Amino acid sequence: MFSARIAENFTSPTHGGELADPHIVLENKDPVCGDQIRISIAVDDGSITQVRFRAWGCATSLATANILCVWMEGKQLTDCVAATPEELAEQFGTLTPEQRHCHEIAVNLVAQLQPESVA
Amino acid sequence: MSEIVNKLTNNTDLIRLANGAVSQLFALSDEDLATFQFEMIKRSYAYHFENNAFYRDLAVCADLTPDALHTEADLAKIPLIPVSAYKGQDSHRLLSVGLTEVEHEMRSTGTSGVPSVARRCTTTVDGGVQSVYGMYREFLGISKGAGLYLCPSTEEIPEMGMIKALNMLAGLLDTHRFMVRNEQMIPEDAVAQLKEWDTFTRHIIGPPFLIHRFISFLKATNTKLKLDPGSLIITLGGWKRFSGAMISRVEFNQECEEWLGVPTQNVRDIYALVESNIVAIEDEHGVKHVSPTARISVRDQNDLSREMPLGKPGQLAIYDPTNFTVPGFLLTEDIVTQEPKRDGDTRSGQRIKYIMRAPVSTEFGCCAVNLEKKMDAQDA
Repeated sequence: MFSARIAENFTSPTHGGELADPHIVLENKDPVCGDQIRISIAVDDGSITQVRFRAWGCATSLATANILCVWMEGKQLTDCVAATPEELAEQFGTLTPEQRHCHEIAVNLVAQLQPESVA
Repeated sequence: MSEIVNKLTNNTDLIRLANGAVSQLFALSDEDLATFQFEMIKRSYAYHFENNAFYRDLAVCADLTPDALHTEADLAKIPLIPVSAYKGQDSHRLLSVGLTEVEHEMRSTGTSGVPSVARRCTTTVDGGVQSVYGMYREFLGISKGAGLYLCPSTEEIPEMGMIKALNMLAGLLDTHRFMVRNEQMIPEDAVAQLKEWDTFTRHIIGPPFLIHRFISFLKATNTKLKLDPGSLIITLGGWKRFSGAMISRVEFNQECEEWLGVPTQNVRDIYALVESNIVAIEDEHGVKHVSPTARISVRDQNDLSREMPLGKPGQLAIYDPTNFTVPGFLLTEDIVTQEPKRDGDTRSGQRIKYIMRAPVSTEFGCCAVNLEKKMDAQDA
């Protein structure tokens, strides 16, 4: 049911927590299962310098949040804005049908990013 | 032969065997059952101590290594995991197996909106399925008939503990239908379905508030139904409505008799917890019996190390040795009493009466309450 990638990111998350003074906060909740991810982001000159997450829900949701943070950190904000759902799906590997809602949460989170998110 | 028996009982197989022997365990004397439960819990404690670094640290802090568990009285020293820990971002610490061994996640949303997620490996799922079906057979005796489910389907709310547990009953029935769809229930359809099932013994199954809502419709339209000899009303979920008002159990029973033609002894409430494999189901006298594969302890809310005497309310603690995925030693947020054995009751084991959610809890109800809130908002 759980891939090694999901298991690793669930049991050993590297980006858990919350930034004290984030430039951007993304939040999304699945209305059916109640899974919820909140991501706080620090940006410097268009580059994402630090990302942390808080998440509630199934193991895949929690792992998804960590994977998303790792993927974002160090990227240009504009590159994240331009990312396609397919590109995000690659980060998570193969998900079972019961886990696919986590990909949707991730897509919804990234869709909230705008190039002008940070003045 | 004795060698084979020893092989089966020298390790966790004892617990696995117990899951399939609900009726046999209830037939033991109270002393023998308590001894058997102590042995299972002791083995479970040793298993989690061995396989779970987080829990081992708790155990060491509590100065309770597995070999220090000598008597039943020692069970009260076992470190308990508060159910709130199942909601945390760090809930991976609770696992005694790798996540890749987890087969199933079951959840309860609760009224705080934060889902509690209980993970089960194959062995734990096996045990839960066996013991829950054993309890259903022991107390409900269902093997045929039609089930009118006044709740959403598992298709609509997959992984939701309450619905999952009720849906397991459907496998024992000849037919069933879920009457809540898209958070709406049309009571006229429910009445029509009951009338259509005229060749089946009909049962009504769901959270109390939805059956209460259905009965309110029957009252408003002056529609008196007469279900069948052997029909059961089976409830699972809170008795407190989202508005905070309690549904009176006495009135509910009377209304089931008056409007559905089902006598009080056939109205059976189930207590269950998504984080545990145990259930407690009412017998024909309205007494809830706890799964004999586990033990409960009622704790003083002001001093959780102290056990309350029979009949005195306190916070429910559960020692569930059938959980091989996470330590099944739980401190719930439910206030209960442990009830004495009624004269003439032939079953051994423990009995509980649910009273309320603990005032300190961030939850005041279960996922059924959330559903009721949405349905009421749609009706408005």
